[in-house]
Amino acid sequence: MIFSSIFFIFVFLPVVLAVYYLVPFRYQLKNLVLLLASLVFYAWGEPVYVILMLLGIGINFAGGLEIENYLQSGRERNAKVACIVIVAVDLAVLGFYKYYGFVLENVNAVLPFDIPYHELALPIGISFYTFQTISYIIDVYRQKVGAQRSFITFGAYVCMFPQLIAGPIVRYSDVEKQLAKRTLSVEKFGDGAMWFLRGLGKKVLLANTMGSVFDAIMALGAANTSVLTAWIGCFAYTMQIYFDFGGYSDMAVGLGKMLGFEFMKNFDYPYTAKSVTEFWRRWHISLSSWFKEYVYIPLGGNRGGTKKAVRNLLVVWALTGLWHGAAWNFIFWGLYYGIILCVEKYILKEGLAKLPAVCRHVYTMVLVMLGWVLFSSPTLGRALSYTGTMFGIGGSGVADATGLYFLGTCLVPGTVSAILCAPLVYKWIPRITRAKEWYKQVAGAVIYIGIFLVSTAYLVNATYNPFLYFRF
Amino acid sequence: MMEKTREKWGYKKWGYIRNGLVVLLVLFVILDLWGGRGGDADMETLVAEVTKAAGMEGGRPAGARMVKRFYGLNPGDYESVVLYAPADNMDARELLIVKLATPSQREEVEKAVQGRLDVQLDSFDGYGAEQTALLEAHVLRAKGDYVLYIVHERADEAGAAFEKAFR
Repeated sequence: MIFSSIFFIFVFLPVVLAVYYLVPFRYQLKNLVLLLASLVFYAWGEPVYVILMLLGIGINFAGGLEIENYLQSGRERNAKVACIVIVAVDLAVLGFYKYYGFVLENVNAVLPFDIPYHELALPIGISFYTFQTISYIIDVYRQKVGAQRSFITFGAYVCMFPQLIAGPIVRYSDVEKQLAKRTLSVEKFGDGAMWFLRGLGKKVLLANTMGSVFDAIMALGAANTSVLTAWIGCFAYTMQIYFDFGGYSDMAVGLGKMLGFEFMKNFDYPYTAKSVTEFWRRWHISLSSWFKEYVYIPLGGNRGGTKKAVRNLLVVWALTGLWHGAAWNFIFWGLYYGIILCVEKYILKEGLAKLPAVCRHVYTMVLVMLGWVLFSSPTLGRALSYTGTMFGIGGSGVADATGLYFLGTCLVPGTVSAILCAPLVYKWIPRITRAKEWYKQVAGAVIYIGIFLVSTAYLVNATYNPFLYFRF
Repeated sequence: MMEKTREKWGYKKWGYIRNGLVVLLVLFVILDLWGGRGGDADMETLVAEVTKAAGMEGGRPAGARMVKRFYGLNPGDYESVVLYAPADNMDARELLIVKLATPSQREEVEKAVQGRLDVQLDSFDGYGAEQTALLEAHVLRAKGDYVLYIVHERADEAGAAFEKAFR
């Protein structure tokens, strides 16, 4: 089940919200409703892997209490061992389901014989909920948070459906108080509904449209792709992935608000960044901050000299790439950014800031778009081939009829997408929806109802509704 | 003595519970591997489900020579290959399902499919708008030991049936 589906919008969500608001105002009850609804949500697509998730919840729940007990008894060493063991179990499960096929594939490529293996289905959302449980265990060990004493509340935290399958990665410390006490109000519900509808519109109207352009261009094959077509394809994917993932994150934030939670925003207009460093402060914020807190800083961060700092950055970015997928192109994508970040930090330094803002923005967007070519290609070879085509190597000339056709096709959605990458339009929204004048409020309602109706029409008709970050 | 035992149980009980759950987790993973959830749909069932979803039941699969001619693949290198070739030169509809002998073959099959797709797009370029549209909307999926490639009006339904066969 995904948020941008007719069943979720018209059946699951209304039923869950109705039950959630009808149960008496005791947080354990509301958390129980949230937990059960989330298990149903997850089981809809993965009935068997609900068991895996419940076992993970149980292990981390018991583990948190175990660590706290040891710390309270002064048994620091036992607490540390327990922390290491539980994190290792979490990583082992993630590593096994996500990477063992990749590892064996590469081992088989080197060995003179093949080690046979069964490829397993990837449990949906495992990358997200595993990182949540790891952050919980480490924070309990660091005594940043107290261990959760209610299995229901802890389960609700780990698998709450707004962020279960596609983030944001919610740290326990950010929602600890909200799990015990949160505000439910008409205003918050309305705010949540607006976030949800904005996300739905981004996903269904923009991401899917740009995605179909990208897929059509990819289907042409290298020999039929001109420079113009290749850049349009790259631009289309750049827009698709942002509105797809950003849209889904907006929906998650909106659903959280409707349930009384405040989640951190996961995207902060990343395509307005004027350096790659800034881009990564704005893109998938919950993931980059997780890696900073639990990998980069424990490795030593930028203390210990430039060499160590560079090593730590490259390790973090290789892992970031690997988190995104079990394939070499993801690892190289991560390292690509690691290298660029090192160059910006240690070579370009203040020099980059001296350039005009437009130049910095173009520089950033070109590097980000080339990064997406690596990210989206099934193999390294395809990535290199496509990049070559973008610069006139191996394609069908600079511009051709196909390129002009695609330019015409995505001129309007592309322009709208580009405008909506910036905060300008979003700044107007509260001026309309929170205005005292009745006609502004009506206009706001009309806009949101329009987004809802058009998105629903698209969903009813659409055969094309992928979600790119689902595979994590 | 009783007090010491109770105290030991007090702070170790969560450790015992945790260990018990880890054992259950390991058992689950072993059962999952053994059951082969990700990769073991029966080829015959898979072909039946996919052709049914695409409305291609009753069609006759093509022989090994066609597989070699269209894709450059030697069927003998794979566990099993089923091809429903286009009916004639003006038809773009096609279905290929390959059961890999080893997972490392996946990339070469996908490359062969891409090559076939490029050739077909070239063939219909400029005069076969319908065929070109069908080719552009093709479905190429890989799951477990299987690769599916289909060009058909109901390619999406066939793709969904392919995915469903693995649940």
